[in-house]
Amino acid sequence: MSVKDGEYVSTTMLAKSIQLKGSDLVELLHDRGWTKKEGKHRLLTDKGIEAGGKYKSNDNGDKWAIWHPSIVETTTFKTEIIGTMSQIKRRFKLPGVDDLNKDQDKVLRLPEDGQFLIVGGPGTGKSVVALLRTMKYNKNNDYAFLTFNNVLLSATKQLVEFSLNSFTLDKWFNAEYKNIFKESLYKYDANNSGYQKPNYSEVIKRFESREIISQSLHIIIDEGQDKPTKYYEVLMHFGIENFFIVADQNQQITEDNSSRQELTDLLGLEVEDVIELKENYRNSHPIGLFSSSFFTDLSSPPPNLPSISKSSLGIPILYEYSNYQDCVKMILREADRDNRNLIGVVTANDDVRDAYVEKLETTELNLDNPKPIISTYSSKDKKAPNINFAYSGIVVLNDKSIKGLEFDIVFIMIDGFKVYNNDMDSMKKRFYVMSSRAIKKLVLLKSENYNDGVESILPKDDSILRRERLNNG
Amino acid sequence: MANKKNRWLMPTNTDNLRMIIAQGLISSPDGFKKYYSDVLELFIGYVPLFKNRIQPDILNNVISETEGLTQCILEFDLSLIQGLGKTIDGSCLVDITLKDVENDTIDILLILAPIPISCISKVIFKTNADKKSFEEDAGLYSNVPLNELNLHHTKTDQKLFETKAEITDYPIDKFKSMELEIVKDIDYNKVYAFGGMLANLFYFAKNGIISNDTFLSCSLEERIATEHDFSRITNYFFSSKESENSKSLYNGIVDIAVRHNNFKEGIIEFLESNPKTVNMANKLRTFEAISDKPVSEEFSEAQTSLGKVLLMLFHRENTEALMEYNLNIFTEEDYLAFAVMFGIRDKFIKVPKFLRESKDLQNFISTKMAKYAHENLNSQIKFKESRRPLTIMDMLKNDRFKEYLAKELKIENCFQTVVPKSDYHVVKGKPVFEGIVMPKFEILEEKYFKFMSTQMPKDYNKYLDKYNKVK
Repeated sequence: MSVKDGEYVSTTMLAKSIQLKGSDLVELLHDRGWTKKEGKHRLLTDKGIEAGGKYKSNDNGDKWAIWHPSIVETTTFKTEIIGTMSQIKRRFKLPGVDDLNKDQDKVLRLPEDGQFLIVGGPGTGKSVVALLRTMKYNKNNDYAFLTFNNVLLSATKQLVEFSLNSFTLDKWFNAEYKNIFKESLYKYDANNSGYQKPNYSEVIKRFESREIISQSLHIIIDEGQDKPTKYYEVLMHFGIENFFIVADQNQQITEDNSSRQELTDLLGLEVEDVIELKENYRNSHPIGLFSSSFFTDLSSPPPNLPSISKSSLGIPILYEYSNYQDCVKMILREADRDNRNLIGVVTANDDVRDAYVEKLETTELNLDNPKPIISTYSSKDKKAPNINFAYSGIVVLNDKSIKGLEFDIVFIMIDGFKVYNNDMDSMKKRFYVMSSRAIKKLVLLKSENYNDGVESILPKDDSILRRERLNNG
Repeated sequence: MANKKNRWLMPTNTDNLRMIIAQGLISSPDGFKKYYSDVLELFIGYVPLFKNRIQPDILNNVISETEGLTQCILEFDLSLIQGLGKTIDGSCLVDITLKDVENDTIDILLILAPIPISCISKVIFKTNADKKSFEEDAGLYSNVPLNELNLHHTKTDQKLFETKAEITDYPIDKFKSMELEIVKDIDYNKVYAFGGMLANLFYFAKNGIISNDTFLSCSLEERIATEHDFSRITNYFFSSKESENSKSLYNGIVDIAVRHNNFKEGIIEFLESNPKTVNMANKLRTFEAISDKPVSEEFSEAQTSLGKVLLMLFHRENTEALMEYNLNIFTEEDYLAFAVMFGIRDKFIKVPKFLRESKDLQNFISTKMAKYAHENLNSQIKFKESRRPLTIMDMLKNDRFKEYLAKELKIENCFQTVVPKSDYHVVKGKPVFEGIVMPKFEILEEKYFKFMSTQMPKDYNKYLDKYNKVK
């Protein structure tokens, strides 16, 4: 249906129609990625335009977003905007001086220029120091904050309250590459219906034919272990001199990765120059203990656990169920108990992920609070994640997408995880990453018919993993 | 021409300075959660102050622990401290009355720790870049408010950092070898818990008269006579000797909040150690586990105030999270009990930044904590009181401020207007009074509490500015 411009209303008028303050709706539209701020103007994003936003302008060239009043009746608006109003806003919480240990202080005292490698296990605050460093020097506007995957990028951008110049490692470098060679680094492979991985040796040769022009740009890389050393060599040929890389080789989830030693050598550092963060601040002792049972790296010890728990409070629990609807109800009720929580539901593949998203969205329960937002993302979607980490709710993700993230409560859906070729190490690494995402509670759920090999890597000790039967009735 | 006043200086590094601001006290090293070697470990238990200049080896010492530390110097206003200090006479330490210090020839003064940050008149930086960097870095932390500090750099003061001068009679090793009388340990956990409690009481004083009175009483270090649960908690700090069961249960719980690193663990162990409280422990275990019962239902079922307090301490992880939470079943006394227990558990260092930035609060509580610590030491050190921050209820005694706040928060229905008894006649349906009759605005306490207990006002300084204009 086409609508005449005259029937459209301003954001303030739209807000009035749903008894909201204009400024609140402006903030919600921004938070949900419908608008973005550029200078003093709020411009529509592609998402905002897709949702139905248009522009109105005056003679001075100023333009502003307008909406058709009926937009408030659309499912998208109801889910993304009205639904969000009941959710609690989350922000990257600045640490107290006392929350950082001396190793982390040392990182914050590092000079602006140079090559730095920070290593540490999950929850040791690697990303926190990377973000704090970015905040510290961000004013110089000579920074790029780079992450391995889209989800971590999206979460980081949404949680910080300053404009973060951030990209995924691939997207950023491809843009720089295109700028120089006027072509994409990624070639489409029609036979495989996908993009080929770049041949970094060839790329280096191309750069070698040019003079290296030193760049003042500082790059800060989170989860730096997931790129091969050749990638970093390419960056050096590109003229990058200021590297700040945080990494954990025990969380390598790709085949193309770099070890701690490789990164150390690459940056020309002495072993003692590498700063190691050892304390696990994220997980409670029981969750940390459970995660450490999947630690596979023989070259470095796992992070130190918080002080021991004698009371057995918070021991991770494995529920065996006969009906997965019971799991869905459990997740929804747990989300309702504290509507500030961000809950992660981790699945093995898209089929399981889609099934849980659908069930979580359609299951109706009597809850204290409005139903939480259910969001999801798959790297196969080939578009930016539609997850708002700035709000509480339930996020359903495959395990490959959750690295670097943290959730108040994590539910791991074991069905779908399968051990291939008896490769227990790979499965352990996946469980190490998944379980170490949890801050407050960790729950594993397994159907009574599941028999694909994961059970053998789970701790048998009741003081590390409790086992119970789930029957919600 | 009048004699130039002496300057009393304490060198340290900016990392320690951040911690001093965050914890609210210049304490001995055992009062720091994280401490970098500096002059405070030269005379354990004392804060050493140097007159007008600092010898080079001491300046170098404060940045010797690790690479990248930055020197700074705290200058103290001695007129705010009274009592007895110590100084060096030959190789001995001797007492000196602080009021005599100005006329004496001494170069070093030791004052028993802790000292409140309100006594710092200036923080001196070696370079403007150091000062700027300190100011900017403060924004990276949640507990380093700079609003009540005077940060300073001048070319003249740069000389204080010169390290070329000759070492005086007191090389650092000589200090280290001096014998000090053993200073009684200060229970810093309890001191910081007291500060956390006061800060939370200041915030929750917004809720009504009982809350406001409780803050005022605790500010004066007075025991509270009521039998409300919150008074049993606050009285823990004022030499309670009760031994009745319920009171010792409270003392035990407060003690865990003061000292235990993992509060939930400590509470479960404590409650399970007594058959009478095992049930309470079980309820908390259930609450903590995966449960299909809504939290509001759990609070409704809690039969005692203590039960609600414990549930809240398990439900909300810090004071800011408590401030965001409300249920219409809670009374003003419930909120007070939550406030004091959260303040005690989290200590002053975890007080939310927006609250710490309330005008006069940081200095006021710092002085109160220092005073409390010295009273427990029976020391002869006294500090000049810092100005108490006005509470919202204090400001609401002014009718013009009442009018402002009612409009600002859109809570006109929480007030009523009373016209004093006076002769009047009715003109066109309106009462007309003879002379000038000023109406009074009164708070409708119940309505006001119902509203304010659900609000998290972060605009204290704005309200105070307005109050200062209209009063």
